[in-house]
Amino acid sequence: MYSNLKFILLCFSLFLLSGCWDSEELNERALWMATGWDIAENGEIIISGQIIIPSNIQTEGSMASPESDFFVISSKGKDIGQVLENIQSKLPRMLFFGHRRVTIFGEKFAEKYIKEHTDNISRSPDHSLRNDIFVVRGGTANQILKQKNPLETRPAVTALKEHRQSGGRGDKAFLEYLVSINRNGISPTLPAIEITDLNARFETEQSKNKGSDVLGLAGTAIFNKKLELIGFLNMEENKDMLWVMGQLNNLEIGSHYKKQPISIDFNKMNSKIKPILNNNGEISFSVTLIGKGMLIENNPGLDVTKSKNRKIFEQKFSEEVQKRVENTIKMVQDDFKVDIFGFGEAVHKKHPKQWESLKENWDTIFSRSNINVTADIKINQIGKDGPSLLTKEGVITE
Amino acid sequence: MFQFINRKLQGNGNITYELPIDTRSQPLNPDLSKNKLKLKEIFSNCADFTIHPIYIGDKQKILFFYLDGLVDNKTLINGVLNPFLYQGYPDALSDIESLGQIIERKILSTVSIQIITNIDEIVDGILKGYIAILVDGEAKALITDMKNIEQRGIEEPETEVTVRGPRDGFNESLQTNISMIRKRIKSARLKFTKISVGDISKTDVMISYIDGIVSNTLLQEVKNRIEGIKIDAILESGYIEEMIEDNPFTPFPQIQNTERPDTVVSSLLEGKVSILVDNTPFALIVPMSFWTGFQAAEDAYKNYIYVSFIRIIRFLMFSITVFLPSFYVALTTFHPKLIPTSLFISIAAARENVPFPIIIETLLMEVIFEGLREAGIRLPRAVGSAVSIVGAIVIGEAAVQAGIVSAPTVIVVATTGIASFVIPRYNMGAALRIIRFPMLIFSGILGLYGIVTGFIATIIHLVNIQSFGIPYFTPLAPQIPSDIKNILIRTPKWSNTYGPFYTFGRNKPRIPHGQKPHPRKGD
Repeated sequence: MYSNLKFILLCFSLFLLSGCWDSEELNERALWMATGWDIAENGEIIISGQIIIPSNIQTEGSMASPESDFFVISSKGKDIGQVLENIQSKLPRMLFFGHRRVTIFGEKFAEKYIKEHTDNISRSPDHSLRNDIFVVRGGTANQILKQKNPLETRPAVTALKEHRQSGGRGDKAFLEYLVSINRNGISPTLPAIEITDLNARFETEQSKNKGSDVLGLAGTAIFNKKLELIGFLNMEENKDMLWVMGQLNNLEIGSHYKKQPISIDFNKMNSKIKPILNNNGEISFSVTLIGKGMLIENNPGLDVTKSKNRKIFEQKFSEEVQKRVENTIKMVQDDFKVDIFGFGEAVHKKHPKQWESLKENWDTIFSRSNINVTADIKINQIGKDGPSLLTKEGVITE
Repeated sequence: MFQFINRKLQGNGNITYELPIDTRSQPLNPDLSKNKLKLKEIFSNCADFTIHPIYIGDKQKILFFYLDGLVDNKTLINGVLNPFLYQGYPDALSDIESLGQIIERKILSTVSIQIITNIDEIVDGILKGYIAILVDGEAKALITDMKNIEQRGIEEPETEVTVRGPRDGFNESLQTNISMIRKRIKSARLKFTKISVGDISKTDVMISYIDGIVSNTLLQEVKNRIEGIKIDAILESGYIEEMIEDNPFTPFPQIQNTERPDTVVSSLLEGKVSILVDNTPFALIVPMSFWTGFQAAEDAYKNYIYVSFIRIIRFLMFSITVFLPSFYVALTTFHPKLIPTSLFISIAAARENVPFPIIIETLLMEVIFEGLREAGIRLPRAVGSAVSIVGAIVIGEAAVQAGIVSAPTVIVVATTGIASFVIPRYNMGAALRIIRFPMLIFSGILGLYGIVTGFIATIIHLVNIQSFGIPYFTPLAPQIPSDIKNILIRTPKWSNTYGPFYTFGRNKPRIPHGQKPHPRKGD
């Protein structure tokens, strides 16, 4: 009997570990979907948050309210504690960061202040590491958070989905970023985002249409080891970079054969970086880019059911890829002089002993080393027909 | 004044089941009128007690005693009265000297005729629907079975409806029920042992088993427990069940009940013992394991692949019944990070105007659901549709539109309710429905931590239960590898060599090896 009593008392002690005080009703929480970091002119930080308005969300077949289902709130302050305190004082509900999936740094903020201020993102247990993170190209984060998209109601979701669709890092971006900060052989990069025009502009149009602004990916922001923004890669270069890193899974490229365009849509992509140390201690790299995909354009009209003809196209694509990626690498080596591709990590893995002496001034070594790119392109789907249907004279063979 | 009320409330104060006259082994008197007086006193105020005299000359020479309504009037007239009054009149009645002669001369065309000499046997016989014949001058009585009690026909069992399988179900007559089992096993090894339980009801209880399969310890245990019951009356097998189960403090059923003779027979073949009780269509089967609750009667009759799939569905539904409402409460109030963002936003939007906390809202809806279910059972069929209309429209639609409860909560509660009915054994489903309430309260107080605590406590409780000495959670705990395959799925019959380990043992195969069908090719 006595032992039973003890057991029951022990059970009651469970209530001390956790309890009702940890619970919070859903309609007592303010759902914070995205954070924007900006810097004010006096050096204070401005944090903007995108918060859901649940009552404006479409439910039970009712029409979506014409009002937007989110709003953006922001406050200034010297440190994050002060800013959050200011924001909370303007909100009737408790801030809830558990579902924040996107973080955006304004361009000005990214240039200097990331290292000073953003420890909170990786420290607070409320914040998920599964998080997409962007740098604004030419603007503030606050602007981005207010920008709608015709398909998605919330800009945070728009940015995240665009990033995922483009074959980029998606919500792994933050994790990769943290990893690259803590390694010597790779420099941190973050995807960039900008406000752009929804449609291509025709020359006859004088000014752009009102309300046709959307968020668009704008390549990659490059940081040095002090986490200062030193420049951007455009979308094409961004994809080249991701391919070299082996993180790209979708890309369309074009080439030409006899001056007529051909295009391929890759669906399986990979890369191999092979560091070569010669006897003098000089280092060079051989990069193999592997891509398999579907032919989506065959204007020359070659019969691609014949493997000989496919080989010709594959050769053309390989040359194109090789040229493109070599140019991008060269540009990074010359202009930015930081190893954003992770070549250093490849050395680290392959030659860990030699790496100890190389790692201190790796970026200098990287910008001087010789990098040789080869591409291995395979057409594994040819589309609906072998020759082009537009080719009247039938099958052209070499 | 209070004393007066107390005395009033106390009632009679000296309850007795004894008859007014001590009939135990009291021999009959040769004097017919004395016997008649005695029986009249025993059956005083029993309006259905009938005495039918036959006069020879002016004197009552022969008396028939019986209970009107228990005996069959046709048999009485054709089998007893006719031979006495007409057919054998000159020959029989004039020179009948003893009851023995009646039998000898084959006057009566009835079954099971006995000659007895004690009053108590006469009383017992009359109560069973026998007719007692007493002749003047003899200290002997003749009783013969004349029973014809009105009974329901054999109908399809309502609680265990099957798509495939026999459609006959037990009814309230013990004899009919036994015959339904006997019909399925044509062997003298099928035994029925009769025990009479209940001081005043003297209900017949049959312990049924197959000699040679059943383990003697189990059988003895069942007999001991039933013989140990001291109760005034048994009205239903539930009385027996509650008096003999191992653990009285649990919502989980430890004794299986069924309306289906085929279920009883299949259990007997596995070495289990069945208890049939007169006046109830529900037979009991012991021992029961937790997993029996998830096996429907027709599982053995249908394609084993399909049944395996259905069993997996049942376990899925079982987890939904127990855990879904508590997970809903725990995730939304304690761990909103664990819900996918878009789902979270939908739930938040739906709950925007709801005035109650989620735990109160869910409890409320669960209680209302249980109420609806209960109302559905009790209501006469004619008003039954009113309940479903009120339930579906008022609670489902109006409450959500008025913003009193949120749509996700209604969905969760409805899913839980449907899931709980997937469990084939009604009493197991009821047990699971009960334990989801403590789970819900635990999760409302402690979140996921509370669910885990509640789950562990339930499991500890389950592995502690025994049913007639056999662990409730077998074959999972303790583990019987060869039996496990038939829990989650059903394996084909040719692969089930033995029955359950604890009741069947491993001495003799039930279905010998090598019977997997493999037609020869080319024939």
